[in-house]
Amino acid sequence: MGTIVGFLLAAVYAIIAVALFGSSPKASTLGSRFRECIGARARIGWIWRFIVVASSWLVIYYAFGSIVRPYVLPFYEDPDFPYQLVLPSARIVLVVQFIRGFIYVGSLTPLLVSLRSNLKELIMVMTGFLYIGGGLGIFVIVESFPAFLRVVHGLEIFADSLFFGVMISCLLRKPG
Amino acid sequence: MRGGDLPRVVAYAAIYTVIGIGLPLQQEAITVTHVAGLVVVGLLYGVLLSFAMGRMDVGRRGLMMTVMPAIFAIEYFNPII
Repeated sequence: MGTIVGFLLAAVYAIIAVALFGSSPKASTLGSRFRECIGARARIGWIWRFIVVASSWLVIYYAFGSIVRPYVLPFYEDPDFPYQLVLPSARIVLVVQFIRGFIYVGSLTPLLVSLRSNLKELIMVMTGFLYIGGGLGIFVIVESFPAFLRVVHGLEIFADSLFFGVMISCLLRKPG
Repeated sequence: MRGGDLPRVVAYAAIYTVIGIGLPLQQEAITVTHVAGLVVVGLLYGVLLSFAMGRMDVGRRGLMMTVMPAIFAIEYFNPII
């Protein structure tokens, strides 16, 4: 139920965002921008890039997760900790984060295709949407979570978002 | 941020905050800190939307039906995965 409400809200926010910020009429359609991008590189070139970027999420997630692990693990292992944090098994984390990489690429690709920006701007926009949507909201708004964990996990998610933003912008943008 | 977009950014933050307060998924008590958090996130979203949408070369239909819903859905994927 919560998921359905979430996706309906995403549609509502999209309408509000376009109503507020989508001002001047544009010449291109999303379909024409996709065709333009796909035509700029060989199909096989896009396929391996898509797979490398989506898979890189898992590597990035584990890299920064390993850095913060010593600081956050005591909270997860403390039975008296009132927030009942659960550390999933390595197998579950592996599968879920692998899928997440593909979901992120699927969500960000239409945005990447529709932007006419240089690399630096693409990285800023990709990182921004990933970070604000992917973690900042949760860690700023959910105030019952301890401040230390919010800061550490917030930094971890920022690093994840930045590195994934760099990967997707560098490898999946239209060449030239 | 595009020049002249400040009122739109503030409007977006206000709408985001109102929806956030009334969100059915909400399980936390509404406090001043909570509302301040929503305002901050709404403003950041607004600034980012202003910056990004000024650089998008796609018609409103593509933005409304595909690009923006996919972006906002990231926020709702996370609790699932």
